[in-house]
Order: sequence, then C-alpha cells, then structure tokens
Amino acid sequence: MGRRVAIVGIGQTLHKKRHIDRNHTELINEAARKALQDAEITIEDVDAVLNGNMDLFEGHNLMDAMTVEGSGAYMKPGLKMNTGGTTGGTMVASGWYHVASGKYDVVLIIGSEKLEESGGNTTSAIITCADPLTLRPYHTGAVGALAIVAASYMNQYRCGEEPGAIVRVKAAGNALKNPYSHLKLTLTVDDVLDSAILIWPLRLLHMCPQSSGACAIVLASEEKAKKMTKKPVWITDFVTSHMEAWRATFAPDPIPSMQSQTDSAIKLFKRNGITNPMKQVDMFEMYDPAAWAEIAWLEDFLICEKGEAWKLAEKGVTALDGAFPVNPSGGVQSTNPIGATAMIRVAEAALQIRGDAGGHQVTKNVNSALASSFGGANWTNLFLLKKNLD
Amino acid sequence: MATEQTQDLIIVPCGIHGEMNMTYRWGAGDFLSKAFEELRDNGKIYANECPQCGRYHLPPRKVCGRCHVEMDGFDKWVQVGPRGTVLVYTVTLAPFLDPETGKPRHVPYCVATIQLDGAPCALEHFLKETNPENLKVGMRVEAVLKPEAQRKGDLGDIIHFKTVQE
Repeated sequence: MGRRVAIVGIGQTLHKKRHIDRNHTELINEAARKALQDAEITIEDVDAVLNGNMDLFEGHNLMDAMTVEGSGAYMKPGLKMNTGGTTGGTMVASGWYHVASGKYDVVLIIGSEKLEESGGNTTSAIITCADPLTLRPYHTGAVGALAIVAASYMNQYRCGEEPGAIVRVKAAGNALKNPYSHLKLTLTVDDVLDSAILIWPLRLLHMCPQSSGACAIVLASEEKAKKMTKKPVWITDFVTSHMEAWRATFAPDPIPSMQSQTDSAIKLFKRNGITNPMKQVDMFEMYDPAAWAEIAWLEDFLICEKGEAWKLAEKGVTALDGAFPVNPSGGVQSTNPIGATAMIRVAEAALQIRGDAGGHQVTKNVNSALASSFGGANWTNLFLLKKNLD
Repeated sequence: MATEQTQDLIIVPCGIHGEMNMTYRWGAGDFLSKAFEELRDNGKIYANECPQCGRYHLPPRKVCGRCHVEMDGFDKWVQVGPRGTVLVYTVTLAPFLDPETGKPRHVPYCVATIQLDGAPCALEHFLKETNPENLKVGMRVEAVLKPEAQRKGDLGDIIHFKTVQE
C-alpha cells in the first residue's frame, strides 16, 4: 500500500471569469504561496512540484516549463499532467504516488486554468475529446454528453424538470457562502427553469461556468505531516477507473451510467468496509459539471438506490445542514477552472474535515469525505479522505 | 491586432483569422474500414459480438474494451438496421461549433441514441425530426443514406434517421 500520505497545506485563488491583473504564472504563484503558508513551510521544504492544466484551452504548451518561477519548481523534479476534467484528481493521485513510494517526503501539486484566455471556445476544445471516426460529428462537447445524462434520467424516473432546478438552487446557495466560488447567484427554481435551453433538457443555469483560477495542495509523508500540522487530512484510499470513450454504442442501460464511477465506488467501498456510504461517510464533494449530473451520479457512485437521488435535495439530505451534504462548496456548477476543478473537490473535502471551510462549513461533524473527478473521455478518480488514521 | 488596454493592464490577443488549413488524417484500421466500405458500397450497417462477453459493438471494433480479446472477422458480423428505436434524444438549440467544419452548426438539431434492429447495440446519430412535440423515447426510425455516388465511407454516409410509422 505504500507510505501513508496526508494533505498538510491548501491554497486557492479566487475563481472568477477573468483575472486580468495577473498572468498564468502569477495565478499559479498565488495558489502555491497560499498552500505553502497554510502548511507553514517554504518552497525550500518542497521536494517535487507537479502542475496540471489543459493546454488546449489557453493555446500554449509545456506550461510547467513556462511557469517555473510561479510554481517554485526551480531545480526541482516534477511532471505536467493533463487528463481532461480529471486533471486535478490525477494530480492528487500522482502526488500520492510520489510520497507513498518513499521517493519524496513533501510534494506541491498545482492545478490551474485561465479560461478567459480561451476566447470562449471551451466547448470547441472539448469536442475534440470524442473519437473522430465514430462519435465526434454527433457530439457537442460536455454539454451534449450531460444533456444525455439529464434526458435519460428524466425518461427513466419521470421526475420532471424540477429536481435539476432544486439541485442548482442548492449549489448556488452554497456558493454564496464560499468566498472562493466563481458564480455568486441568488437563484430560485423558476430562474433555473426559465433559463435558456442549450441542449434540451439542459438549460444554461444547469451548466458549470468557464472560470479562471488555481488550486494548490501540499502532500506529506506521515512522519513529516505529524511534525508539520495538528490537522493533517489523510488520503485513506483512492481508485482510478477508465472506460471506453464510446460507451453509447454498446447495448446500453436505460440510463447511460458512468460505469467507471460505479466501478470506482465498488472497489473503494469494498476495500474500506463501506456498505452504507451515506451512514459511514460524512459528505461528498462530487465533480458535478451540471445539476443533473449530481443527481444521476449519486446513483452511479452507489450513494443511494436507483431512482432515489432526485428526491434527496428536495428533502434537504444533501444540504449544508443535511445528513449527507453534497458539494457544500457550491461544486463545479458554481466554479470550473478546469485544470484545477477536480483538485478543488479534494481541497474542499479536506477543508471540511479540518473544520476550516468557513461560511460553507457543514453543520455535522466531518470525519470522512468522498471527493470525485470526472472528465473526458469517461474516466473517474474517487478519493476517501479521513481526519484520523485507521 | 492591437493590444487591449484594460485598467492600465495589457492583454495580448493572439488569433488566426481567415482561411487556415487544419487537416488531419485518421486511420480507421481494418475493422472500421470494412464497416465503412459496406456502408458506402452496399448501404449495409454491421455490428460485431465479443466472443467472450457477448457485447455487441456498433460499428464493429477489433478489440473488446471490457475483455481485451480480439473479435471475430467479417464472416461473423451481424447486419443491423436500417430501422431502430430511439433510446434517448437531445435537441440542441445553441449554435455550438461543428467539429468537422469549425463553423457554428445550424440549429435546432437532434442527436439520439438509436438501438438498431438485429442486435442489442446502439448508434449515436442525428434525427431528421427536431420538433419536441413529435419526438419521444421509443419512437421508430430508419436510416436515410446519402445517394450512392455521394458516399465517402464514414458514418456521415447516413444523413440522419427519419421517423417511420409501423
């Protein structure tokens, strides 16, 4: 299993539409600096620096080499990673490998995206993730794929449009309490249902925004972590699962479920003795690129029974003061600097465990949390974080 | 292009405008080539079955992603369609870019997952119908192919699926 690894420092920039007052290197530097301050160390104490970013959006390449002065990687080893939406989760996993292997004791991981520099063409870039021979002509990036998730769920359970709107209103309310979130919207269910249809049944207000921002995490070995902080958050376990990009062309389930999400949950829960996740885990920061994804994917992740997830937000189960809070940060629906997005899920889950989330700290005591990553073409990271070592 | 001045800070624009050739050449491999040839030359749609797990692949693939075993050759393929049943559909109203041309696509257009008759497998493609009042899950549709002389040997040889009454 390797050495045990803890999150000992967390830093985020504000996430917003534009950071015109700083370039990409400076944006990365702000998140890195905050994470180091949070860990009460300096860059001298860091053994390796890893960067995550989706180069295609900003139209540059080798961003890890371009941004060395911002990241602090000068004369240090490291990697640049781009695995689509999962980039931030892949970096947490990779940081874990670096430390758990025994090769390094303290690793700084930084995810960033400056989508303001992409000319608004995020969806055009995402379309290129689909297989060009069999799927690309019929795909409309993430919006098209998530519209299929929404349409399939609504067809299957005849739940109408309202549940998606209720989930979106919950996310907006949480985001208003999170100082780092991008969209600060006071929304009603009618606002969501009256918003423009992008791809039926997915509306503008169902979809995540295009954000600019960065997130950084310091990971440390058990020995170092115990000396560095009183509040380490342990990466107890995680699973990465891949699946074919062209799932829709197989004999499908009624709902085109993300099999990689279900596979991740089965493996993670089995290894950690989890038979009732809503009782045995305290909360979930899910990669929820659209309101309907939060609903359908709670079922993919085996958090609740099939056909039950659409009722959870209305009952308040997934609210900040609920029995099983989901996306207390406001989630991806409110904030989406893509190369950082999946890392923010882990960072926010860790802040909740530390009790340091601030205005959006959940009511219940958080000793354990799940965090997930989603991205093209259909793969998953699922993390289990805990306050205490098992 | 001039730089923009915003609150005393400079944003340097970079873009390639006008005509630009971005051309790629994607190899289909022998299985997809055979499938596309059958569509182009004979107007036939084929699927193939994994000999280990029994899943059908449409269009046929050489390797099953789940089992990692090699699939059987053309003599074992199953002809499917041209009729099928809509499993799920979406209607696009926002003019996103057409990945094949780089230009905004004419809206509305309807993308559906269609289970073709003949084997338990499905294809993602366009529906001719785009009026929500005439669309429903379970509706029967039929592939409309380009005239033979215009077919190129890709899935675009199917223009769309039209609604049929049975």
